Amino acid sequence: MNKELILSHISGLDCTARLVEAGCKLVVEFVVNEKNVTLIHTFPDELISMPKFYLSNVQDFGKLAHILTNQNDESGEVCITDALSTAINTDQPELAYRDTVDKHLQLLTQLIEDPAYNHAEQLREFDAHWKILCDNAAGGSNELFVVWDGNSSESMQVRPPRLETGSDLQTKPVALAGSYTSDRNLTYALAIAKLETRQVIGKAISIWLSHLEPPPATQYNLLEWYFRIVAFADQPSQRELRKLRKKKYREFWLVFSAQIPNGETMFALHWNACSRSTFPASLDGIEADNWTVTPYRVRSISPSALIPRGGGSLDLKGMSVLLVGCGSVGSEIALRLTSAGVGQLTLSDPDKFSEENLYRHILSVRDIGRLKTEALAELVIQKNPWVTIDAFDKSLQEFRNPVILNKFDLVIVAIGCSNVERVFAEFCNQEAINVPVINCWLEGFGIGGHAIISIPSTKGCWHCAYVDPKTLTRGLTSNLNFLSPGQMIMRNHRGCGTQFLPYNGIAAGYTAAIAADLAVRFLEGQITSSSKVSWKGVDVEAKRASLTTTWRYRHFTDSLHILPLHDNNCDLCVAR
Amino acid sequence: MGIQTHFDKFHNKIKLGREDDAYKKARDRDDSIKKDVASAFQSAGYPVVKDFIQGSLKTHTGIIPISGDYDIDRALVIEDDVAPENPVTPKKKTLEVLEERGFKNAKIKKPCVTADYTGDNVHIDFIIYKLSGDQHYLAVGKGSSDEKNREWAATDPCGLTDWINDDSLFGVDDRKEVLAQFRRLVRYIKRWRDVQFSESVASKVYSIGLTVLVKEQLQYSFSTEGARQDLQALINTVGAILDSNYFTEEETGKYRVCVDLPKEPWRNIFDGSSLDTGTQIYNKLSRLKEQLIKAEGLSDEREQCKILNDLFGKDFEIPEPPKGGSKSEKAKYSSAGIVTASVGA
Repeated sequence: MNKELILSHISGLDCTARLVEAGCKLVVEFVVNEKNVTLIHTFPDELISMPKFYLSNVQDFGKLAHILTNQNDESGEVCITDALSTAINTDQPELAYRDTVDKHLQLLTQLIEDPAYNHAEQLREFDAHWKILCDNAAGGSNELFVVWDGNSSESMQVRPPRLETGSDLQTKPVALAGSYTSDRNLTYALAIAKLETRQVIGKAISIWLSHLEPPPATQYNLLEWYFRIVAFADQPSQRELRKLRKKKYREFWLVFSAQIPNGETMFALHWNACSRSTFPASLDGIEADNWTVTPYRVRSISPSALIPRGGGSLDLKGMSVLLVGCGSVGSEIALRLTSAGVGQLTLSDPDKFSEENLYRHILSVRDIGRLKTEALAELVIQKNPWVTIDAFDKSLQEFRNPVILNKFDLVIVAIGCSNVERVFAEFCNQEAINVPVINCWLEGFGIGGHAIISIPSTKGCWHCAYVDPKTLTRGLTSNLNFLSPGQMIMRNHRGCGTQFLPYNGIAAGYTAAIAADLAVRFLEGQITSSSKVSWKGVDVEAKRASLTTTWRYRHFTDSLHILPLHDNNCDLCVAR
Repeated sequence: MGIQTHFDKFHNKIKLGREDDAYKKARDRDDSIKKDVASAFQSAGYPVVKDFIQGSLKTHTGIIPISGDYDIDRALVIEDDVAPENPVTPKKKTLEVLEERGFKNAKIKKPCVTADYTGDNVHIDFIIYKLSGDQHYLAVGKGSSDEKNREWAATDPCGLTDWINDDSLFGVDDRKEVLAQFRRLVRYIKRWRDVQFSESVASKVYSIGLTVLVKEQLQYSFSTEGARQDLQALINTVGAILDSNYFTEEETGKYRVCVDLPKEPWRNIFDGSSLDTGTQIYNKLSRLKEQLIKAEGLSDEREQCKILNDLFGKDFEIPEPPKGGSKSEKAKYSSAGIVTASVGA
C-alpha cells in the first residue's frame, strides 16, 4: 500500500491525518463541538475489508453508539457497517481509505452533535452492546434459551446446563414455559436437550417494557440501570413482580422484551442470593440480601421469533394442507411448506421407505421399513417444531370424499402417476370440489420437472396440462413434459417389477421447490388463478440414452416462471 | 375448442394434393396427354428425357380452386444437343398434339402451352425446357414471336421448388412442424387472394409471388407446448411482408410491388404488373393484417370465425352458436389407449 498516497487522499477531507510509528499507524484528527476526536488505524498486511479505526479518547464523549469498547478500554472500535455488506476497492486502497475516513467523520460528528440520534442508535444496537456486557460478566458469554410463544407472560421453569461441551441446548440453561412442557412436537424437537433429566433450578418471569434505555457500559451500573427500566414494565409484568416479592427465592431469572427501532429485543437478568431471600424492590434490598445479578443474552425459541427469522410467514400457521405422496418430491415439499410457516399438514402415502429410496429421499437408513409418512412427520417436526402433522397411509383415490377434501385450504398431489391423477381430477371436477389442487411430477434423466395449480372457478384446470399439442384434444401425457411420449424411459436392473425412473435428489429437490413455491404463493394470496411452472434441466443424459425431446423442451425459456395454466383447446374449460 | 381447430378445419377443406380424389380427373388427363406429347417429341427427334410436376403440387401448397378449375403445371425436358434452335418449335409440336386431341382453345403463351379441358374443369400448362448439363433453359416465345422475342432462357425450376421446400433454416427437430405451418399459411393466403380479389386481378396476384413472400417473411408461431398457432403466425408474417421493401409508394397511396425470384433468372415475379395491382395487394394485405389482429383480440370463437369467414370465404365456417344449458360431449382421447410416459415424484 502506498501510504503517502493514502494520506494525500485523506487530506482533502475536513480533518488532519499523519503517519506514526514508522508508518505503521494512521492518526486522523478532527474537532466536533470543540472536542478533539482522534481516530487511530493500524495498517493491515493486506486490505481485504473496510479499514478499522479506533476512537482513542473514548471516555471524553460519554456513551456513544457504534463504539464497541471492552471494560476499562480507553479506546473503542468504531463500527461503521457490517464487513460483509461492503465491497472494497482493493486495487486502489487510497480510495477505500478516503471513503472510510469520510464515513467516520460523518458518523461521529452526528453522534456527538445530536444526542437524540445517539440515543436512538444505541437502542438500535442494543443487542450488540448487551452481548458485550454479557461477555464481560462473570462466567462470560452468558446465554439463556427461552422456549415460549413469544407473547405470554406466564412464568417459566429454568433448567440448568447439562454438559460443559456439546450442543448449545445442553450446555446452556433453558427456560421453558409451562404450556410447552406438554407440547408433543416441541418435546420431540428438543429431545437432544434431554430436558427431562435436568432438574428445575428456578423460575423465570417475562417482563414487557414499554420503554427501554441503552444498556450500561459496564456491569457496575447494571443494577441502577435495572431499577430505572423496570419502572416501565407493563401492568401484567408489574403484577408478576409484586407476586415475586411475596416469596423468598435463592435464584430466578427475569426475561425482558422491549421494542427497539429495528424490531424487538429480548434480554435476561439472572438473580442469585446467598440464601433464600425476598426479591428486592430497590438498591437497598440488594445489599441487605447479597443478591448478585448477571446479564444473560436470550436465545428465543418461539414461533413468533424464529418463523419470520427463517423466512417463514406467521400468517400461514392456520393453513391446512393435504399432501398425498411422500416420495422424494413429496417429502421435500413437506419440509419446505413447514419451513414457510404452514402450521397444519396432513401427509398420506401407503408406501414404506425402502433402502432403494435412500439416495434421493430425505429419510435415512434408520427409517427403512417404516411408513414414509410416519418417518417424515418426525423429521419435519424436528426441523420445524410448530406444526401439527397428521399421517395416513391412504392412496389418492381414497381421498375422493368431498367432506374430507373441503376441509383443506390446499391439496398437493406428488405421486407421479398421471392415471390416478386424472381420475382424481375428474372427481374434483364432477363433485365441484372447491379446494385448489397442485399436481407435481418430474421426468427422468434430469431433464426437468413441473407443477400446476388448478384453482376452482378460475380459468385453467388439470386437463389443460394434458391437451395434446398435435391433435388439440385430450392427450394421455402432459403437454408440459420435456421428453417425447412413447419412449422407454424406465430402467430396471432386476427384471420385471423392479422398474424405476432414473433421476437424482437434485431433480427431486428442484421439483419440490417449484411445487412448494406455488403452494406458498397461493396460500399467501399472491397466486389467484390456475398456473403452471416448470424447471428445465440439460439434456445431456437424455441424449446419451437416445431419447428425443418435445417442442416445449427445445423452445422453453421460462424456467421457474409462473405461467397461466389455461389452454384454449381444453374442452372442459370451454364447457364451463 | 380454440381458434386453431377452426383453422385446421378450414385447411382440410381447401388443401389440394396430387393424390387427392378431387384431382384425379386432372391427373388422368395430364398423364394421357403427356404420353402423346412425349411420343410426338420422340418422332420429331428430340425425345423427352424427363418430366415433372411444377408449382404448388410439388411444394404442397396447392388449394382447391374456388372456380373448380384444377390446374396442372407439367414440365417436359429435352436434351440440349437435339433441341431445336428455335424454342417455339417444340411448343408448336405440343400445340399440334393438343389440337389433335380436340382442344379448341389450346394456345402458345410466352412461357408455356396452355389448354383447358372445359368439360372436366382441368387446365394444363405444358412448360418446355432443354437441359444442358445441370442447367435448364425455358422455351420462351409465342407462335408468332420473331427472333428477338424468343429464346431459350436460363432458369432453375427445380432450384425454386427446392428453395420453397427447404427447411434447413429451422431446428432439426422442428422442421416438420414449421414447414407444415408455412405450407398452411401459403394455402390460407392463396385462398384469401381468390376471395378478396376480382377474378381478373387475382390472376395477376401470382401464386408463386405469394409463396415467395410468405417463405421469405415466415414468422412461425407455436405455443410453448408446441401447439400450432396459425392465426398468430399469419398476423406476424403478413406484418413482416408489409414492413419489408416489397412495396414502393410511387404516388401517394399507389404502390408498385416487386418480389424477386430467389433463383435464376432472379427476375421480379410481378414484372410488368400495374400500379393498380400493386396498390390492391398492399391495401388488401393491410386490411388482412388489421382484421386478423381484430379476430385475435376477441374471446368469442364464433365472432372470431365471422371475421375469418369474411377474409377467407365460406370454407372458413362459422360454428353454430352453443345451445344454452347443454353439457359438452364427453371428450374423446385422440391418442392411443396406452402411451408410455415415464414421470415420477
